[in-house]
Amino acid sequence: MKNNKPKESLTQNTKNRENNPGINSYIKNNIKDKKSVTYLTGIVSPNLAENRSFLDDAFNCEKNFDLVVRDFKVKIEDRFINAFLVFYDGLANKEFINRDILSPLMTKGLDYTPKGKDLEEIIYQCMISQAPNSKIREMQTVIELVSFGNCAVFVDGCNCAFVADIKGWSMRSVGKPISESVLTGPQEAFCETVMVNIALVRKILKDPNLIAENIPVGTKSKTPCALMYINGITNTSLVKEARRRLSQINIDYIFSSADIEMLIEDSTVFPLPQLLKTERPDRAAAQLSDGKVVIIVQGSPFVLILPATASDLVETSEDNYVRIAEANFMRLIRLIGCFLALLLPGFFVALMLYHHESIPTDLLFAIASSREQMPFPLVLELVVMILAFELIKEASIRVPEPIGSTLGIVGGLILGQSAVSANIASPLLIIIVSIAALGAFAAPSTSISRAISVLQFLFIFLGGVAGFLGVALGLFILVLWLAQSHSFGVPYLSTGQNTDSPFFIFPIWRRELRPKNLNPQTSKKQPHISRKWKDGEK
Amino acid sequence: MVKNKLTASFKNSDITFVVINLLIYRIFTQLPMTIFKTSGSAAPLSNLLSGIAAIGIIWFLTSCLLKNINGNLLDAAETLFGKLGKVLFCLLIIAYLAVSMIFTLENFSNLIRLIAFPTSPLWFVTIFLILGAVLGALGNTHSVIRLHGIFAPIIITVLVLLIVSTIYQGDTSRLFPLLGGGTNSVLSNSFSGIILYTDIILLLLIAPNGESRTYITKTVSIGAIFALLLNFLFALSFTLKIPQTIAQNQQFPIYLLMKQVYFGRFFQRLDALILLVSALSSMLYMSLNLTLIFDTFRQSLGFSQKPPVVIALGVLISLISLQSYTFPQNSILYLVYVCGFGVMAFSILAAIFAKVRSVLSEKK
Repeated sequence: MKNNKPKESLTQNTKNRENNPGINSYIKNNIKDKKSVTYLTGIVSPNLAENRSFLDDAFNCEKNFDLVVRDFKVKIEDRFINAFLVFYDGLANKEFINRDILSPLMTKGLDYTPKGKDLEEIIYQCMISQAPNSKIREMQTVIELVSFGNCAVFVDGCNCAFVADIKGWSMRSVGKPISESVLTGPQEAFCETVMVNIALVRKILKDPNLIAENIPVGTKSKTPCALMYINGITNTSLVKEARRRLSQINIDYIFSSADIEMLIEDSTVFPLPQLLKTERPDRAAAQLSDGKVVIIVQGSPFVLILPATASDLVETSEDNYVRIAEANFMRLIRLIGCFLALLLPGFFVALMLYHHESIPTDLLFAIASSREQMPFPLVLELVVMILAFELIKEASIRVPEPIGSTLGIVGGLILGQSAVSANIASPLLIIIVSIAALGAFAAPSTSISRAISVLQFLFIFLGGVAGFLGVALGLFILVLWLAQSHSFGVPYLSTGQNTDSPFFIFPIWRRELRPKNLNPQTSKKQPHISRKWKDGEK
Repeated sequence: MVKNKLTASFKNSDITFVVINLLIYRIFTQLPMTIFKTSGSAAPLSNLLSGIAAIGIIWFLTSCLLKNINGNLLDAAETLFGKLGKVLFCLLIIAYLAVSMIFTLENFSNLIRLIAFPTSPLWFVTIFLILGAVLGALGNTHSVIRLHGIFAPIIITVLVLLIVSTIYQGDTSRLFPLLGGGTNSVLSNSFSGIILYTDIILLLLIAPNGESRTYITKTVSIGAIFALLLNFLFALSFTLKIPQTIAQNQQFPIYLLMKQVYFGRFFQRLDALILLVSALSSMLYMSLNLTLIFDTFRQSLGFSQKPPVVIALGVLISLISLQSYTFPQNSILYLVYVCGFGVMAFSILAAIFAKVRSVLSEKK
């Protein structure tokens, strides 16, 4: 048995490990045989039995029926060396294991012993044909990699494990975007696998400066998170800050990008999203090229883009695939929709209760006559109808898809019609609630739509208490809050300036510079005249 | 964090909107009525002359002080008059800002009550306004400045709408005689009309932090010219539309003017919009005012805890404004005049000193 480490350092290692339980939770908590070299040092032992015993404990082999530990012998010339491999059934690809690991090591073997090479090098360089393969000496790393679908091979006499990346779990293929569908743009969406998602972005940018750093998050789950940015473009302090926040998350399990979003955003109570979420690789790539940072989380089809500012929230992918006039018109409509959803109910209450003089007289009479039979105060009526609508919206998400449209008809038409007939709500109020709802639906993302749905109650309350004075106060406070907020150091109400106006976009040949508020390393995207053929015409 | 040098200073465009809001928010208070009452048909001319004088002063102050002194107006006062001079100047500024805020709060509250809450007590309106002002001031100066850049265009749009919708129906014969009560009257009214623009000294506390100091005079001048134009057009439309005899007994010129607006069957009146923008304008002005009072306190007396100072000031100012009916008539207005002219005189003096000093140092 080889053991290169002196006894002193071994004891020191043990002390360190005992004092720092966070380093190696598996070793600390699960191992019965605490006197083995593997436990004491945390590294793979050349003694196969020790490794086997250690892994039996670490993986709870007796209880885990999906863990496969297969003993076999490695054939080199006429020698047979004991070995075993370990993997999770369902996570690793058994076909690859048979073809690229077991067959070369066990069946084919090696007919000669290469000169000047020890056993470790022979197996690594001459026998295992699997491409993503690495020699790992830390037992903790081996455990993490096996838990993530890799196959680890232990050979007697080698103080390392040969870990082959042969993940083979079933996964969703690259599909169509659901929440960000476009008519004329690419139809690819992110899936749940981090490597596939990185590849989708890399495929678009094709830039060797595009960096994808792996930052595992979760003390137990070690969920891979890819921090992506373009070297030479993205502000280094932004990358540092994103890396710092990600690496300092101390939580045991991470399930999705929403968890990461909550853990790294500046303020949790802030009503609007401070990080953009997208399921479109083209959008993520475009944002990267502007100098932003993208975080891809294993298991989540939505990637995070940071920082996010208010002007980013009106943007959709469709804007880049239609003509500029059309894109700007659509942006204007979305903007109006958002403002209507946010302010219309509050304005309506304020006008009806305090500022009748602004309503046309005929309309005022019509409203007054329609409200004659109403038993509820206006504010209550409005709140009840909005809540009813929210109920329909929530229910339609939960019910199976085929029933969804029926629910819409029942909720929208029958309930609305019945409410008017039963004198619970006036027809104008139904119109107001519907317009506000449509406006919220026009918001580019569901998170903005939900934020607006919540905030509109504030304006209804303030409009009901003090009319336009209350609405003015609400507006002032909301915008003040936005003006004070930051997303990763970028003021929330700041605009790119160099590329776009706050809410409208210019043709691609006018977008010469990257957003100024991101302070990118390279601010120039293209020369002043990017359409050189225009020069030729002159 | 994105370390961005530019976020540490104010955008020049935002400063332009601060200038505009500072110079036009008086339209919503009863202060312009003093000009309309005394000038008669010469009100637009008086207003124009006051505005031109104000622009001259702004140009002089920004070009002399900002070019020759590093830092803001308080730093200039310290450089030129020593520490005692700075403390005295700070106290004068604080007095002006506080009195001006009391006057503004009282006026806005009355205007808003007049428009929408005639039966409600005054404190109901005051609470909303002071709440906005205090919350605004509790934030950082950057966000208050940024808010100007967002809300000022809305305020300007509504004022332009008001002016356009009244001016074309006006009776041009009301403009004559052009000199109203005579040249002396026009000149004296023009001089007293400068009070509409005394808040320009606040700019000297903010403007030095503009992202581009080189263009600060230009930035401020553009805002001032635009504001002057709006004030002049407002005076013009008021004179064209309102008979002098009616105006004598009224408080708020804007209230009188908006009563004249009738858009037809669809959107009849501007009252609600005026209320909305006047409330926003007042919150902007007062939050900036409170922020600057605190900053002045901090620079002169070394206060560092912002929330207690700002909240206490807000409560105190709102209580005084609610009790202002117990003071002798127009006493607060006169205080605004005295403090305003005092601060302006001090600033001009400082600018002259700075200019002379720089000329002398160049000769040496």
